[in-house]
Amino acid sequence: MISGIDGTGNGMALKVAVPLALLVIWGVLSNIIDNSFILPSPLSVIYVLAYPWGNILGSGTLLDNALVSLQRVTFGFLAALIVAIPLGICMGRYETVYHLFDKATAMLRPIPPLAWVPLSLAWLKIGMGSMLFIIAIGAFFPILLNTIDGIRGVKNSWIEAVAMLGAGEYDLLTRVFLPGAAPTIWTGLRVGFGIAWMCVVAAEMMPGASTGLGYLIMYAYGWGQIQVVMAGMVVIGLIGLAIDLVFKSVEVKWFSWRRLDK
Amino acid sequence: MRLVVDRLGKEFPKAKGETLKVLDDITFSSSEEETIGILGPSGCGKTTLLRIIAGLEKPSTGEVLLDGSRVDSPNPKMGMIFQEYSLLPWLNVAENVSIGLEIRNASEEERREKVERYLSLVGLQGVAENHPYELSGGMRQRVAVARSLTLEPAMLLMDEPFAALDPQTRGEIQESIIRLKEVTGKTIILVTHSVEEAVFLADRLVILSARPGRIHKIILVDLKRPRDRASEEFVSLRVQVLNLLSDLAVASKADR
Repeated sequence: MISGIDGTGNGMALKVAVPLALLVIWGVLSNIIDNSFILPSPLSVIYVLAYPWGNILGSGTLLDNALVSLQRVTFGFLAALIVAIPLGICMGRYETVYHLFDKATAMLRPIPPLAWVPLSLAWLKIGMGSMLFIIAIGAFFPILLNTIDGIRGVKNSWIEAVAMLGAGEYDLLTRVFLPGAAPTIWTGLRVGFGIAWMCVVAAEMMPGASTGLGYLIMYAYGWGQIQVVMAGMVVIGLIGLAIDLVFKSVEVKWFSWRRLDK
Repeated sequence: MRLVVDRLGKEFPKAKGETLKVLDDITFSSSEEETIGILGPSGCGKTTLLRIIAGLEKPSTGEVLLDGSRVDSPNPKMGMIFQEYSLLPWLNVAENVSIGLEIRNASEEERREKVERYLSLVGLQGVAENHPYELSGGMRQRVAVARSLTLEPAMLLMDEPFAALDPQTRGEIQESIIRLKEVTGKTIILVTHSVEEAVFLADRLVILSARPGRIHKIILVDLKRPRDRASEEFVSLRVQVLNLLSDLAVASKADR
């Protein structure tokens, strides 16, 4: 093998080696430290995880809070997508629209979603609205940039061939631009959802939040229940992983043409 | 369907307000059921000329007339086959071929019938369900030809469509273009850099000079069909055109 990733050794053993080792190190360390306020034992965390329907410190179950967070991330993500995809299509297709929005979006993009917290509280007050705003900001830019890239990556020969068959702007949009850009837009959605998921946890730590995984782990921290904090983190990680796998499997199923078409 | 190219000129903007003249005063016309081969040294604007005829680009001066009406946007009466691979990779062969019919809202029955008819006309069977990436270069170009035929254009414009194919495939597909021509009687305008291909397929050759492309000569290919590439007349005409082109290329280098 000269370059790229070595293809040998795709076995299960290889894939679980590092997670298992971390678990063992964690177990040993927690034994040595012997202070559950700093590092609870893996078993105590697993115990919390084993009863996701159990009420935790009177602030709902792990499952309920996870569902609330998922609901929030979905709405925030959808809000971002509804604006970012049409805007990205127009910016990718029309030079004028691109120049109109390019500088503004390029300036807003480096501002981290968390920097928007004070403004979102000032504008939308404490509650659902400000949380969705933070989540949407996080998801917006990856979707926008990938949509622009995807539309620009549509080959001129595809566009002209279909235009020669009598396609108007609308036919070109639905038959060439959207399907041609779909794999790249999908990548944007995947990255955007990942960031939105990070933002929901952060948004739930804002003042006024009283549900969600982000709230739960802050609340548990306040009560010194570090094993709940860690269980919450594990759930956040697992849900993020599961969603990413769903996005990836759709990519493999629908967009294999991009890989195969050389 | 009568095509008239009337005093056509094309300039492209360069830096600092200068312009690059690629075509100048191109005038010719074509009658029905004729194959015209457009030849010229590289950079003479052959492809630009074809793209203007297709309505994909606007001329700077002059105009293109199709049965008396001006062409300024793509017109379904003309089908175009591109040099680059232009099939949509996310659609299978049948879907690619029927896309023009779908845009036109043709019935499913008509689509199925025409896809079958034109795929077999270009010599492709049993690949309707395949995706373009599963086909060879020659097969892909045949699909592109079938796709352009479904709307029954009066004229086919071909921009070096076989340039990327190996010689054997190229010969086979040239034969099928001749068959297609006999069956459908379409006017074909073929841009090519292969003199042999042009002499084999065309009834007339339009020879352009180097940049800016002007019509240098129009040659009637008075060879009876089927043409034999090894015959004396074929070879002598081919050599004559080759010499003409190399003179034009030398002249253009001397100019610069």
